[in-house]
Amino acid sequence: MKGGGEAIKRRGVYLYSLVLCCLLLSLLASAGCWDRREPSFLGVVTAVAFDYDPQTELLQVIAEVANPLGISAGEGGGQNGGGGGAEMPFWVVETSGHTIYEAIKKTEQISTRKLIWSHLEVVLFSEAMAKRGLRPVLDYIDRERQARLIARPFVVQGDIRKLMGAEFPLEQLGGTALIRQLLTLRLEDAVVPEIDSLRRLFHHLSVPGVELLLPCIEVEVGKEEGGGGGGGDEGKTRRPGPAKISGAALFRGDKLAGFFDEKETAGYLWLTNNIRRLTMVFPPPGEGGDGENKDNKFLTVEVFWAANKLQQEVQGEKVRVHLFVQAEARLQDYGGQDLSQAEEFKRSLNRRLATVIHNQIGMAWRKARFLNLDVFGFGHELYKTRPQDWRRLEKKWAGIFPEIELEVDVRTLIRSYGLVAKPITVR
Amino acid sequence: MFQEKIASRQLFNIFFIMRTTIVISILPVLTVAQARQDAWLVAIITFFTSAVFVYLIGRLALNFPDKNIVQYSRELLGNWPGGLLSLLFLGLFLLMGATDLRIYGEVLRTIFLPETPLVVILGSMVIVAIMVVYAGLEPLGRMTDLIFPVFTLAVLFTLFFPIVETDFGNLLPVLYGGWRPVLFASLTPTAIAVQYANLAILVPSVVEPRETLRAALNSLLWASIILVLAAVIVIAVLGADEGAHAFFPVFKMVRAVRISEFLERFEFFPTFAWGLGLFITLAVNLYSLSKGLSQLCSFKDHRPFLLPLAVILGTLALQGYNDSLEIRNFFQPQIIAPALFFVFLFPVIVLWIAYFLKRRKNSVALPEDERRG
Repeated sequence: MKGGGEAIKRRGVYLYSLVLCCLLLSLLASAGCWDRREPSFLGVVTAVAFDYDPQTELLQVIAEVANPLGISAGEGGGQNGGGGGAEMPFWVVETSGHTIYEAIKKTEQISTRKLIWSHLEVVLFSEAMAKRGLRPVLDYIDRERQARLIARPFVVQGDIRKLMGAEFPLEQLGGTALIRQLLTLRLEDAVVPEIDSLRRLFHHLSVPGVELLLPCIEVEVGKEEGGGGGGGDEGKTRRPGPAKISGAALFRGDKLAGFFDEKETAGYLWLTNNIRRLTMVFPPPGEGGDGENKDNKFLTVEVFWAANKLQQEVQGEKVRVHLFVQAEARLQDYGGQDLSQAEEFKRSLNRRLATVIHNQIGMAWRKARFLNLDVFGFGHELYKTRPQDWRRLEKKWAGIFPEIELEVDVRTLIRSYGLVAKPITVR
Repeated sequence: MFQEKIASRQLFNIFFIMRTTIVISILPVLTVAQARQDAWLVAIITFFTSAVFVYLIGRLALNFPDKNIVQYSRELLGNWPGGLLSLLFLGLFLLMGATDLRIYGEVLRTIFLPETPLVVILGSMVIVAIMVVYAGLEPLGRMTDLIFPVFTLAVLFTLFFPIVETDFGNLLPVLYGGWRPVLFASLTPTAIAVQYANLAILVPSVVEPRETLRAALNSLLWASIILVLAAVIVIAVLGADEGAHAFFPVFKMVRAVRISEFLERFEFFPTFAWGLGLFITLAVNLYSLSKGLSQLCSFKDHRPFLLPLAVILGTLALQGYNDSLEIRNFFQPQIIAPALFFVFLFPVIVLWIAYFLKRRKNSVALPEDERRG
């Protein structure tokens, strides 16, 4: 027994020696990656655009790869990175293929570095790609281990290649620039839908009773060329931002079916309780009457709090939706002659604000009804709260949705009038 | 002969870690059937059904507090039939160890190390498990004391960080598909509760055998709470469909969440928890397997069996499944439930019947034995 114990002890010593040797050997690997995938051999993709060429029937991938040489030169030389003969902070590479993966693999034939996609921040779809259907792209992203669902999707109206190659005035990389632009916009105004990640996109596509919509980017590069922006340094400092984020692209399933403009998007956000801040401009009460505003005077109101409540009634195959909207706002500027402090004037101001909100909701509702796209998720709400009704109506929803009676009740309150009670008196 | 002992606290740690590891890997309540947003309900039902399993095996083991299943099945059924019956349990340990190991290998291969040969990933985990089992059950128990807080914290962080992105409306409507898919989906997590078969080997090694059943049921309760939380949060973040399509839903959720503009990519929490959890799961199954086999072959020590069994287990993990689709298929209720219920319930029921028959036969002697134990 004792001999057996010693044998075990001896074996233990051997085992520990073996482990120690293994640990020491593992130190060799700490000098770098065993397969030479050093950071200097990798190209980090920050933005990618997907396009479709109907003539060749090929999917096209346009990737923006961060260029460390250009970025460090830009940082050294101030914010005017990429100017003159300096290195650009990014490189745009374009390939095509029958599948997304084939196109992506082809980038390796023309790139000196292996592209990595784990830092992808923005995913752009051209109109052609969106019309053909997002499914092939989405399947690749969902399956691929590097891409993450935190990237932000957009539909691009205009030349997507010009956008990918554009320099953003205050930023070095297009991907980072678009994200900052979107974040600022979402904090300050309500002109883009709330679907701001691929995760939300996937969720919208997979749940019943709601159609997808995505934020839109209008390409502004090239627009200024005809207008003559001036050359040299002045032209450079006065160049406009290459992208304008506003509006929404509406999908039927995964295929593009139409667009919402800014006001329609705001209407959509009112309907879906996603208003954070919204700037609204309308004529002041008593100036030019309700009809035309002859003196062209306007006031600006900024909504800073909003909430809504949606109630649905189902009778047979008839659905009625009651929407109660509440909004609080502050007066930001006032173009009228006199700002009365009378209660009636304030009520009139609130009524005008409510009418503008009402109109925005109406515009969004009419467009969605015309396109027969339940982007507001009325069907989904029914599925969640009245599953028995939804089970009955699901198959006929395409016929029921445009016939929905929408009743909107808006209550507004302008809470703040700024630092002065009356506008300046000009003698 | 020197008998290694662990505390009932350590037994709780072992089973809590084993059960929760499966939760954070494949989230079976959501992925195996059509329960969709009712997966949390499946998790609740599973607690009660699994508790029956735990009670059956735990109570049986307590009737023989100083013997393991190989010994008492021989006592109840005779040398050969008892030995053959306990072989079913040993097969179960082998299958569970190999399957859990392969799932771990798949996640590492799919997400982190696509080009590393699977044998390297599985082999390194098997080597660590061999080391701790070789050291014995007591070091394994102390290891769980060390791992438990780290594991639990990692799991909690995994589940609580994504709360900022939750939409609990995704959990509606409740029971849209009725009870049928919910009950069907609960078969798989219940079948996975056969992990508690390890009780049949571990009970004689617990310092306070009477506390064993309580510790095991407690571990099931807490693991079930984690399971409910995981199901709720995954559905609230990803939605029922996206969660159900994923091979590893908790992982997918963590990768899809941006807590703020500067805090994202925190999948090291589940990876950490998973690695530690799998280490314990594998080590316990390997211990039970080698201990049981050594008893069957009338060896005093389980260590000589360790290396060959580890090789067999590793090979089974490597060769048992061709790909992750096959693993997912194995966890389908119609496949896993009959297989595991047979391997687990058949021996347990036969042993219970034999126990009652024997007790009736020796109605005077046996209760005394019981009381003494």
